Amino acid sequence: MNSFELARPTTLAEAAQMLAEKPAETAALAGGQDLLALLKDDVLAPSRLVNLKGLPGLGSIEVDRQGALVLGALVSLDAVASSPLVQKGWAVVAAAAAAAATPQIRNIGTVGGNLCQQPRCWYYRAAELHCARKGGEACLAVVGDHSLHSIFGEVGCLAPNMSALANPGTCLGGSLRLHGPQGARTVSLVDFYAPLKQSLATATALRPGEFVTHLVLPAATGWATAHEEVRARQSSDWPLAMATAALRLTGGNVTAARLTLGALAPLPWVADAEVAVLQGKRPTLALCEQAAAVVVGKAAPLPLNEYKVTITRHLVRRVLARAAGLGEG
Amino acid sequence: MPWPTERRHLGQATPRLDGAAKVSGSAKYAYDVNLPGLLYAVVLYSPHGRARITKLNTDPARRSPGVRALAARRQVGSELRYHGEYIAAVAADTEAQARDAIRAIQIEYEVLPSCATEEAALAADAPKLLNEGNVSRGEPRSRGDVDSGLRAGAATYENTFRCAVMTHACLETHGGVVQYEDGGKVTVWSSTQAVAGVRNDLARSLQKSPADVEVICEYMGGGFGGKLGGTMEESTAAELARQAGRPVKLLLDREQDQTFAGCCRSIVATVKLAADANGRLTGADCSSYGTGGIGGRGGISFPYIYNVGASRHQHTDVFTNQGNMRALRAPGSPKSSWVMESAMDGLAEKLGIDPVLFRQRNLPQGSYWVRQLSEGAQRIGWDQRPKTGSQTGRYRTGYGCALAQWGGGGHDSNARVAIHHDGKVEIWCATQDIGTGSRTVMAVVAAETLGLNPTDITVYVGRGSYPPSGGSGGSTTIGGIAPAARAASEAALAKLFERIAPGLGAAPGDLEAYPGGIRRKGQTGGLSWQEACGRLGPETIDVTAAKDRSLGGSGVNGAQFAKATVDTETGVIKLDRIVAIQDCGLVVNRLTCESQIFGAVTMGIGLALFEQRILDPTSARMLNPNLEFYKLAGASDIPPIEVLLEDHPERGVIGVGEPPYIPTAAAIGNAVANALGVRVTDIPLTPAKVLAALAGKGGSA
Amino acid sequence: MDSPETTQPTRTPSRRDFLRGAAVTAAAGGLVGCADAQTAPAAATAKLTDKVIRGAVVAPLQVNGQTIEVVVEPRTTLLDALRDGETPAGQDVDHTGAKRVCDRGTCGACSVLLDGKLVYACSVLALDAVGKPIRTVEGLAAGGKLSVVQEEFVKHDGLMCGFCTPGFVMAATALLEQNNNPTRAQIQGALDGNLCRCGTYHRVFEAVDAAAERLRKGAR
Repeated sequence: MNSFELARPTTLAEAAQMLAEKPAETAALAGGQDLLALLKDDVLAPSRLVNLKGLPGLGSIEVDRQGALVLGALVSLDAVASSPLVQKGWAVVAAAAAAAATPQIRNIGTVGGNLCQQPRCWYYRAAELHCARKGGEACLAVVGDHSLHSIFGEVGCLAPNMSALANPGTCLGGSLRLHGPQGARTVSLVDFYAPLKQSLATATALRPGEFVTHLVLPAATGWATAHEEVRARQSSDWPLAMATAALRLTGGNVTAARLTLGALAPLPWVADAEVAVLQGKRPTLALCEQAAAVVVGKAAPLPLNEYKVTITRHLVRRVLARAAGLGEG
Repeated sequence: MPWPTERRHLGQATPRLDGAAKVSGSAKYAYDVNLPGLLYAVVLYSPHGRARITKLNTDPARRSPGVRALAARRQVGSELRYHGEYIAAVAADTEAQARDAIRAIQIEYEVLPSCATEEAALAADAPKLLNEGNVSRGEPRSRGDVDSGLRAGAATYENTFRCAVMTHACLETHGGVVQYEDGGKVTVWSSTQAVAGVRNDLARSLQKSPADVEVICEYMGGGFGGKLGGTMEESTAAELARQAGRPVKLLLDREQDQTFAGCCRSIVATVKLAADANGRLTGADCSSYGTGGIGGRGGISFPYIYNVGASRHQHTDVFTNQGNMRALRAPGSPKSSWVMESAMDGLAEKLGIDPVLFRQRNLPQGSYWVRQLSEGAQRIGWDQRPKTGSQTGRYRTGYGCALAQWGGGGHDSNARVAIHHDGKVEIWCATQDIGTGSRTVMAVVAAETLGLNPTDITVYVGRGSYPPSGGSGGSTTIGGIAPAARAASEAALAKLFERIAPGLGAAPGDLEAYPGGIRRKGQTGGLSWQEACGRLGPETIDVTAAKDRSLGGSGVNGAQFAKATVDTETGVIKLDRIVAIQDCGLVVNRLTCESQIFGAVTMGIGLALFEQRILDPTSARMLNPNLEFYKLAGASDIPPIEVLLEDHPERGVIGVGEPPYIPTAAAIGNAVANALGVRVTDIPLTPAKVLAALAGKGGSA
Repeated sequence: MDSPETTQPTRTPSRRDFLRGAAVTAAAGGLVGCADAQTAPAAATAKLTDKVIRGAVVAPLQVNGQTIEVVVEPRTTLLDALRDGETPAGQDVDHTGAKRVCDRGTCGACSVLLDGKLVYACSVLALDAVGKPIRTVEGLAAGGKLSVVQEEFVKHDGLMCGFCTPGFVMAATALLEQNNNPTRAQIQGALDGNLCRCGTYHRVFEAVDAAAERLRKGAR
């Protein structure tokens, strides 16, 4: 890694100020499971790391007065996965955290770090290659090997969002509390990742000096949820596809349907509109299949990742069916 | 003297002598060596698949803090022909300083058109990578009249099978530590499979006598064929050490290890196989090509283990912009098995003959294979094997099998045994223990011979200056060191008898070793080992002997069966069970021998399902020069594995490190084909390929 | 139970090498303009109490119950500190049990226990390990006796070349300290962060099973 100085703020304000001083040369350090690898590969070369681990109030799992789950940004993935509170009330979040990476990474990797991880693309992570995401002219995966890359969401970069928590978080209508030089604010997860659609230079809504302090998930009562990930190598692997489904059922009919896909688009892919075919109906396997077909109808795969369309279609049917209590079909 | 018919230790399970050192972290590998004044070397290597250096200024590196030496291997104008090619190396007080110095080097490249794949190199408009071109066409090798052989068949099967380029992915990367000693001697701690070979290679390149070069490798973190000789790493470290006057540690980083330090060549083989109505092969034709990097050559063995009266094989080597191949565990054979055993299964299917019976019909009646096939079929539950293509659900289960053959004859080896008057026994050999358990093997053989226990023997391996032995490649080690240990132990024992017999009023020939001591033949008791040695006086017995050639053999077989379940919605293959049957002549240490088989099968799982070197098609850069996307099999990928180790003591010791790696992928591929009713013809069998085969877009029945 | 022929390279610091080095550099001129010889570790210029740590600092690391002061930079990982670190007096920390294999948190060979949790030492800054108990493979044996986990690894041959072994032993130790009755699937899951190229998994599972049984019966 390049030489850097390690700043250790003890208050949120101090952290924000340190991050805002020279944002282009500064990086926030939480668990470091993504950041340190990027430094070692010379993809990033910040001259200052701001260690967030000394900040108070970012390390707990709580339910607030509105019944929302509040996960501190420094909470480890393992703590999320093994929390009885999360397992009971937000099972898909616990499931996603439990499936992520490996035990060693889950022990140290944090909520904030997982949500803010850098693109998982082998062109992006090669220091010598100046791809579109890094300000270059073209996305190198397009004419190259894009077998693990996005099939949805044309933003000019094919690197898929691989965040385990962003997927169920988005599906459940989650939001992030941010802290910056101007103080605290809240953005929905959807809005957090949306800037990528405007410009590859702004992957998230974080402004200079800002960092994530909490992931807030509204109470999931009344939602029937399911989450599943498909991997090539079972021991540990980045997922080929991720899906979280949430259905509201009243009197046996679907009154609301949500679907978020991960590892398939540069940001968590919200497919609520595509599964609207379930709206107002009693869910059946055939309907779930139909919805799945609509979802993948929006896919724009390239030759090497066309197989992801097949995987996704089946995956979507399965999570919808499971959420609807139909088994997997 | 032949191996004993009554064996106490031979064939038993003996825990490794070095087990405690390994589990406690006290075992020191080349990577672990710390020396006073040690410098750390880091290599600048090409990031491009093919490029020319247009600017190179190393002065900023030389001036960088902590830098003590720099060696450039390429200059302005040099053409670099693969990702990972050495350009320069820097040695500094700390590794971080060395990396900073590398970053400070000013270098610019002109990226050149490259060939990342065989097809790209074969294309008419491909850039010319070597003076001779990109292609080396081999002459066809024929037996009989293959065209009429094919015509004579009642059924013919044709398909094209492919296996990607893979890498060794040893956990300890390549390299070592070099220290110049007083008097111009050099000590090298090397991660190597060949201490004696590296000693000779380095002595030559440093223009010294081997007597002035010591190579030490007591523990090493995996080789698999990639560490069989003197290396760029050691000679570069030597040059830096000479410049700096301090010892230098140079171990490759993971990216360069994956790109530069070796790979296993690929194969693309179009096969035509024909058999008569009785299921006897009548003709076998193969046209293949493959790449072993920018200069690698090598094909497959076809028609592998089958004796077909009419056969033909023509192979073409294709050169591409990637780091060169090195021997990788049974070079060529896993691919040979993949190609031929997949075709055999396909033809059996066409003929409507059970694949096990079909194979048995085409193998010599008395061969081990015929028996191993029956045994394996019974153990895997072959009678449960569904009719190919009959399943329609989401999860489909299939069974497959494949066969292997290997040599495994031992290399030349010597051993030295010392017996001390306090009963201590020592044995030396310039072999290395690369994880096979060779250290323990020597103790087992010495213990068997001397009537002791393996833990009574002190074993010294891993120095090039010990009694000469060979490199651990080709499964040739045990056939060298076990007979050498036997010869040296016997010779030492004979000397012991010579010396103490008179004092016992006996002739040396009257004495024998028995568990725990020495006695007259025919008697039940005698002297304890301590008592016997105590009669030696102050002189140690010290003999060196060459191996007894009558104690080794060559030629092993092997059969593996796989049961696999494919998820047709994801293309993911889940292994349910593997049965591996392996013979290796006389089993010396059952424990470590079985571990070899478990290990080889595990590596075969990686070959079948996960491993491939992925190059960017445009630039020929390796996209997965790491352990994140170059995927080894992990804990949750391992199914229950049943190992049946056959013991054939009458055949002498034969090496077994490689054969069990050969048929695993083919057995898995055949199981998948049985499950799906369509064949996935390319390894690794990724979800993408499985789904494509199911959709009818790739592969055929 | 030392391996009898372990060769320790000479550990006695020798001025001879350093002087010879200076002579070669000056005489041969092979390295013109080379940085001035400073063979002692970088002097610690920063302090652990600095708000912003800007250079080398002496970091007290609690390793296997002992405090070792290591001179580290902010960028020094815990793995680097253990394997290649030096004390202010220039002594090697020399805890080489944890291995460098991928250096990217993908293979587990560097696994240690940090504050009771299994982590990749290559992916933790040494400075972030200050104040937390660190347990490495070197600390498992007590009074020369291997731990139950270590003994079973040897007995069941859950090792071959041994390079991944310290990592697996730490992972198995961490698992069994949390759960001494794991199912096979739980064992596999707990070891999914560790790779073995020699393919010892099958025997590692058996070793962990056997160790678990002994621990349940009260073995220490």
